[in-house]
Order: sequence, then structure tokens, then C-alpha cells
Amino acid sequence: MYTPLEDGFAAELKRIESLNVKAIAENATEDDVRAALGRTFLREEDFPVLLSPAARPFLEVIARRAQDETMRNFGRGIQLFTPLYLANFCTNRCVYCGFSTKRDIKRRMLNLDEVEAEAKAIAATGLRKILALTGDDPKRTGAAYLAGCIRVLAGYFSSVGIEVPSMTVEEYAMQVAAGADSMTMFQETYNHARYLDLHPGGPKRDFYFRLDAPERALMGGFRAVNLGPLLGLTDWREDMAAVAAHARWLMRKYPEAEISISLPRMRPHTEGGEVAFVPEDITDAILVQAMVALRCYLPQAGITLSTREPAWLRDRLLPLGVTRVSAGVCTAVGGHDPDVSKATEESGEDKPQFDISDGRSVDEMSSDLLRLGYQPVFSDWLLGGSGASELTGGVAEALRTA
Amino acid sequence: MSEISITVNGQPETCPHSLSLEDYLAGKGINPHKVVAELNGEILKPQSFKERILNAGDEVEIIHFVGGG
Amino acid sequence: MSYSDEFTIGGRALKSRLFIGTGKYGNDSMIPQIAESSGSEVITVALRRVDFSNAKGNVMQQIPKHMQILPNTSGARSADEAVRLARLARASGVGDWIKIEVISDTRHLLPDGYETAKATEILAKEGFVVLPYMNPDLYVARDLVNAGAAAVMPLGAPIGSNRGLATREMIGILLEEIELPIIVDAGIGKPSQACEAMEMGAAACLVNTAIATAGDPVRMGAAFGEAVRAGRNAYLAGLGRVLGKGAEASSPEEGTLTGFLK
Repeated sequence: MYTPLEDGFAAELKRIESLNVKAIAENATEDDVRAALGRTFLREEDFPVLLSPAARPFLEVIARRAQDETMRNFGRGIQLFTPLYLANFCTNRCVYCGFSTKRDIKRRMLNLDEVEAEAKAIAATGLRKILALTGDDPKRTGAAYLAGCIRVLAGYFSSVGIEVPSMTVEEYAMQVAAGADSMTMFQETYNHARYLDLHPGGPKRDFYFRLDAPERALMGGFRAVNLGPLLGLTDWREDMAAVAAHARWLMRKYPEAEISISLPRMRPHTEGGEVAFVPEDITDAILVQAMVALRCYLPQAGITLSTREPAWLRDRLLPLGVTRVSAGVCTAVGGHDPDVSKATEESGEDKPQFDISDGRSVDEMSSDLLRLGYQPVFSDWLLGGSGASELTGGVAEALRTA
Repeated sequence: MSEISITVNGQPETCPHSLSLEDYLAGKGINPHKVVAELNGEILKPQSFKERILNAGDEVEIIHFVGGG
Repeated sequence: MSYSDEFTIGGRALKSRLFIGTGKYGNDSMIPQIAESSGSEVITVALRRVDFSNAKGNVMQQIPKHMQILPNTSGARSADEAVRLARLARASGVGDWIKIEVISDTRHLLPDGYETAKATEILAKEGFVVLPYMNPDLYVARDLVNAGAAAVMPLGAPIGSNRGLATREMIGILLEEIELPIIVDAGIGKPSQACEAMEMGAAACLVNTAIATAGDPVRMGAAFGEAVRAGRNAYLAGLGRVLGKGAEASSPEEGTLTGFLK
């Protein structure tokens, strides 16, 4: 059993729970909303007010402030990245997930040659920022496997992120040494009881081991952390308050780290044509309210938007606070290099983790961003992975002309 | 023989032999409870002024509170 | 109606959020009246060598007994000198509060963040209640937090300049990021400026020159006391709508950011 970090986020989460965010939101008045919007820096208690039903008539006003804050802090640059699914072996039983061990799908993991083939194919699209993902199977695709893959990826990308099961500080340090610089860890829900309901088995069931993971990653040398609630699993306002508090707390304790937040909402995934898990309905209006409130409360936090959302909506959400989007996405293992895709097909692994709604390629995404007045940013770090600069020969040539 | 040389607040001066710090201050018209002192770098509380006898070559700092912001 | 709003520094509960000084008065005998008119409970003093040729009355005699004495280390040019002055102050029996002030630039009189943090660390370990005077710099503030400060005292403008909150934006960042009480010190020239600092969320203001050099210092003390209370109440009340910011409910229409939600 994992013992939470002594001065970790757990105590702060308890404090946030004691504030009773739900009650603040339910009791908020229009005057409370006006008072919150009158402040230069929002206070902790303002955030639930902006998430409240009373704030709904102010959505346009809050959105304008969110747009101003985004422009002031991030300008017109939007970072582009793509996820690379390395493996889908999984010993967890998350009741809402397409990779859950109970689902009858074929399992597969990329070998290092396949990782390199995928890296080349993705790098040829111009992307320099990649997010490596695995399922949760420490025996097959644990820290050593991941570090091996990262070492390959670091040769092709200036920034390598990981979205993998929770690790120890030493294991995180190993990934940093291999060339990783950012980690994504979705708590899914910060409601402990609900978390246990949704994660009946597997290593992921340990709530606190996951809760401390972003801090352990920073202790292990990561320079950027991306948090996320999976909206729809429980009361969305409570999870928003908790993830904002988590980000705020990390920013205070690790001011040198770059903290960002993803706002994925649960999308129904299918199993034999049936909807296997029916989440709370997070409407577009709720997603917008959550995003603009978050931007107003944490003006400097990055906000990532995945291809779970359809293209038309992603375009509408850009001005409201988004700073990073994925493009050219495939949520099945492999899928970028033709040979690797063929091998995946032959293995029978044909079920992606979730259905994507925005199938735009990197080129399409880039030209759409430009058309909307944004600059697609492929690499924004001076240091990190060696990227294309150390490549030689045909690949380097291909990258330069990409 | 009865006079010794000391330095007080950076100024050289002479004073009688076997004089306590308290008596030295009294001779200057200073209430010993309104000042603090340093004797050769050691901070002395007002209560100990009586037992500290000045010796030749001592460096004495007599400090008090003044207006400030 | 009055609102109770105590705050605590170094274990002492304070009702007034105005700290006053004792410097630059034409006549120290004014100090008790200013203490009364301003309602202040904390007062600063400095340490100097006794001038035997001109031993005037002692400023301490003028300070009401209920007030917390806050000696400063003005004159110190290094951490070592500040530490020495702090220890001397404590030896006098006025308590263990100390305002660290390390200034080695005699032209601009700006505080030296590195030396201030060093002195703060040493004195906090010795049990002092350390209130360091500082430039409102986020990194210096964090160093001071880590060094064990009880509060931080950012300057509003260069010392004695009466220019108000020239560092408004930087102080705003400290208010946002630093959990310790923020006490705005130096530069406040008018009650309206103290009021603004309190509206922003400062825990207290220290005002010396603006009171001491006013036409009627006793009355100006009262004005600052009221301004600090007004600003604090405004902060607690939460500022209402700011005209021109357009914080009004509106139904989304065509061409707006949220109109697509229908």
C-alpha cells in the first residue's frame, strides 16, 4: 500500500473538499459573479462562483475575459502535438475505458524498430512534440520498456511527453534521463469514493499513488505536467475545483514547472454496438463554462484540447483559452507508418482507446489554424530532446523540407 | 596610572581605572536603562552594566533608539 | 457599524492595520497624539550610537505602552550588520520583532535582496519575528518565505518619495503568490494610496514620512487610519462592478464568442 507524500497534495485536496464547492456554486448569486469579475486576480472562492448556475447568463462576459487573458498570456500561438500509442496491454479495469482488461480486444505493443518507424512517419509531418502512451501492464510495458521507446523518440522530437501509469520518483527520473520532459496524468476524478467505484481492480485503483504522481514526476526532473479530470465521471464542478486547486498548488510549490490542464469529457465508447458506459452529460455549454472559468482563474495555465471534440467545436473553443491541440491523431497502437499499421491490422488490434471526432491531419490542422488567425507552433523549447538537428542524411533532409 | 584609554562610539577617550560601565554612563548623564551596549563586540544587557569593569583598550558602543521608519 | 477583522503577526493579534514610524517628526512629543489619532498598534524605531554631546530626550518615552515596538536595522549595509543591530535591539528588552532593512546603495536607498534574505534566515532561526523590507520581487519574496520571515514588506515607491504605489503590478503579483502577510512599506504619500494597497489585499501599510511631514501630522494620522480601514473593508466586501468592464449578464448573440451554444 502506497503512503502518500507527507506534504503532498492530499492534505490540500481535503481542504478543498471542506470548502464545499457544490454548495458555493448552488448558492452563488449574480452579484457574486459580478464581484468575482471585478477582481484583477480571482480568489479561490471565485472559481466555483464562475462555475455556478448563476454565472450562466454571464457566459459571454466570462468568455471575453478568458479570450483577453489567453491573448495576453499566450498570444496567437497554438502548440501542436500528436499522441503515439505504444502499447495497449492493460491490467486495469476502469469501467469507462476502451483499453480495460475486461474488454475483448487484441493486445499489442510496438517494438523499438516499430517505434522508430512511427517516429519517422510522425516527424515527417513536421510535428516536433510527441506524447507517448501505454496501457497499464508493468510486466510488459513498464518503466524500462518506456525508457527504451523514449530514447528512440528523443532522436526525432524536441519534446517527448508521456501519458502512462503512475510511477515512482526513480522511474520518472529514468524517463527524464531517456529524454522525456513532460508528463500527463489524468486523475479522472478527484472524488475518492467515486474513483474506487470506477476502478475496481488493477494498480490504478490506488487513488493516492495516482494523486501524487504529478509531484513525483517533478521530483524526478520533469519540467512540465499536464493534469486532467475526465469530465462526466462525477459532479463536474467538484472535479474542476479540485483540478484547478491541484494545478495552483503545484504552481506554488514548483514555480519553475510548466503546469497545464486538459479538459477531456467522457465520450461514449462502444462495445459490440452498445454504449458500455453512460457518463453524466457534459454539454457543450458546460465544457465552455468550465474552460473559460479555468482560464480566468489560472491565466497562466496551459489548456489542452484533444480530438475527442469535433473539429467545428475545437475551432470555436480556440479563442476561449486553448493553448495546445493534437492533430494527425490515431488512438490505436501504431498507425502512422504504413508497415506498422499493417502489422497492427494483421494482429487483429483494431479497437482504439476512444473514438476521435476530429480527424484532421497535421497539414489540415495547420492551415485551419492559420485561417483562424493562429500560428501553429511545432516546437517551443530550446532544450530537451535533440530533435531533428542531430539527424543526418535522408531523414534530416526530409524534415527540413517538411 | 589611574587613567586608562578606551574607545567609545569610535572616539578615543580616557576614564578612571576600575570603573564599571554603569558608572561610566552615569558620569555621562546617561540612564543605563535607556541604552544597550557592546563591549568588544559582545552585546551587553543593561542589567550587566554594573558588573562589567572597563579595561584599557576596550572598545565600547553605546546605542539607543531614535526616530525611524 | 464596525467590522472586527483582527490579524496576527508573530503571535500578536492586531486590530489596526496601520503601522507608523517615529522618524522625521519636528517634535517627538507629537508621537503619542499620532498613535492615538491613527489607532496604530505597531511603531517603528531605529538604533543609533548615543551622541554624548547632544543627548536629547529619548524617543521611547513618547511611545504608548500598549504599542508593539518594531525596531528596524536602518544603517545596515550587509546581513552581518543587520544581524548585529537586531541583536542589540533585542538586548534592550523591547521584544523580538525586527524590521530588516539592508541598504548599501546610498543614492537610491533600495533594499539589497540577497543580504536581506541572509539576515532574515539567521534571525528567524534565533527566534526573531522578522519583517523584511524588500523590493517587490517574486523571487526575493520566495527566498524570504523560505528564510522564515513572518511577513514581507515590499516598497510602494522609493523610500521617502511619497510617490504612492509605483510598484502596483509587482505588489499585485506578491499578493497573488505569497501566503505571508504583505505589508506595504515606503513610498505611500497619501491616504488614498494606502487605501488602494489595502483594497488590493495588503495585510497592512507602514506609513512614516507622509504623516510626519504633513501640515497637521495628528490629523493626517487619523486620515491614514481611516483610509487603511476603508481599503480593508473594500477588500473584504469584494469590489463591485467596474464601469466600462462590462461585467453584465448578456444573452449570446450572433458574432459573439459563445453564440454557437444557441
